[in-house]
Amino acid sequence: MNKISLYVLLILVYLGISKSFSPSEKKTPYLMSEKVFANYFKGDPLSVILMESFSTGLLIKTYHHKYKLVNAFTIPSIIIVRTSKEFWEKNLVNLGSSLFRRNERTALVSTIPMPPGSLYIGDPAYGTWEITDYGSKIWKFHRAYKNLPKTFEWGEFRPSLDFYQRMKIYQSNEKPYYGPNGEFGTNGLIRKENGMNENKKRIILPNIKVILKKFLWFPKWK
Amino acid sequence: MNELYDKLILRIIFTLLLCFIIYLYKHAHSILYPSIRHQLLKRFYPSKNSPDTIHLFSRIIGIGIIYSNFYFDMSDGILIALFKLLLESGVVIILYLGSIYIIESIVLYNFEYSDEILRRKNYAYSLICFSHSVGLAYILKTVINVSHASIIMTFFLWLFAMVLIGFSSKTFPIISKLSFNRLLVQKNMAISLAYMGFIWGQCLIISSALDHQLEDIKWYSIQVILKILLSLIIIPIFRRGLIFIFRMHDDLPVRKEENKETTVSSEVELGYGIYEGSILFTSCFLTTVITGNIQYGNFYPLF
Repeated sequence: MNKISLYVLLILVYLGISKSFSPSEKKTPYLMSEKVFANYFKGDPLSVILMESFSTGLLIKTYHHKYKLVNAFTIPSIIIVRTSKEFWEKNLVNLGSSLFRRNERTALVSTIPMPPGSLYIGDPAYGTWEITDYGSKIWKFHRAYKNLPKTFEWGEFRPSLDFYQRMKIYQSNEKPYYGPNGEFGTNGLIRKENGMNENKKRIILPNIKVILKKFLWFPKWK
Repeated sequence: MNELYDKLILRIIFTLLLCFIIYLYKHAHSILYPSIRHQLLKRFYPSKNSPDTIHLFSRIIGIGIIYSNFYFDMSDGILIALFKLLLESGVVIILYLGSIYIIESIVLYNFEYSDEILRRKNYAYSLICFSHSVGLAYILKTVINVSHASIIMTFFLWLFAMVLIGFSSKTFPIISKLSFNRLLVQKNMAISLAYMGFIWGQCLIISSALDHQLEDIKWYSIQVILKILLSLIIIPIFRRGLIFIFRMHDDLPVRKEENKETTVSSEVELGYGIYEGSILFTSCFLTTVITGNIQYGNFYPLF
């Protein structure tokens, strides 16, 4: 019994020391859920878009999220964080969506998954509603923010007034919104059009040819 | 062709120089080991006292192991190369003899060379000295390799290694069922073989823990400690695994004395010592593979 407790203690000491000095623990922040976003992500206007979702490890997985932090006044930045399994699984359908937003004027924060750019759509400071030839209204960003559609990876998509109004209803009901025709989210039309329709696992397939070549390597005789 | 002749001459010069250094090493013994002066200064007859032969040759093998890792850099000229060699050799000889002195003071504090080898011709004692000499030489070789010829780093790493080996040598009574002092007095070979496997295993673990790039002293020390802790976790698994796979039965005779089991020391067979030593040594050898040779690559990417 003494030996077993000593062995367990040894494992705990090893894990404790390893954890304190592990580079991945130090470099990659751990954000358990959306509740900690407001404290972790500073600045406004800010939109945090989930770009990629992947896990590493063999039996005990580590779950990662890759976020794009979009502030209309600065260059977007990318951050990779570790997260909990529950939060990771919950957001498997939300790739490309904005998971967190902070409004610059009201400083209100929202963690309901919304289409990327939802923070700026409808705000006259960033753009205007333009009437198309067919009489419908679509959102157009001002010249200073013309790069935002590209940043949000909208492709050819431009939000219409109907889209905006529906989005507001979902926002007030605190329900995730993926567009009237399911344009956003992991299986959204926009991601499909851009060839990013799957939540691809980060698997680097080994080059069998190279491995076989190494196994059968033989030095030259000259 | 001239260059080839010149290179050959240089190699012969270095060989002679190494012989001279070994001659100095031999005489350096008389400072730390005045009791074995006879062995070094008089003509030696290998057949006369075999334990003494083992004892002497362990020191020769040891210095051979250390020098197996030496490099001669001629790019700065022969004088600088010779100076570096002599300086490093001086440090190495002092550290090597110092480490043998320290470890023997810790482990064999109850025994004297003159009593055990010259008078009693104790093979067990000489084999233990042999295992110390070879094991410490292996560690010192790693220390020199890691320190990149920096004398300060060699000294600090040597000190670090000595602390580790000093502590680990004290764990023998915990790991082995054999009574070290009692069996050594009885010239039992089982204890020497069990101890040899144990100390060589420990030296391998420490050497493997020390053997990685030294860039940041804090990070290096943490890595060494972590590797040793990891080894302590892995060794029992290998040990149990080997015993289970080869269906070994621990048949050490025990006697019950007042609800306490004690070993009948006089009945310990040589085979039991071989079993204990080999299992420990193999477990440690396999552990170094697990602690040092697994490359995770991008299996766990760093961001």
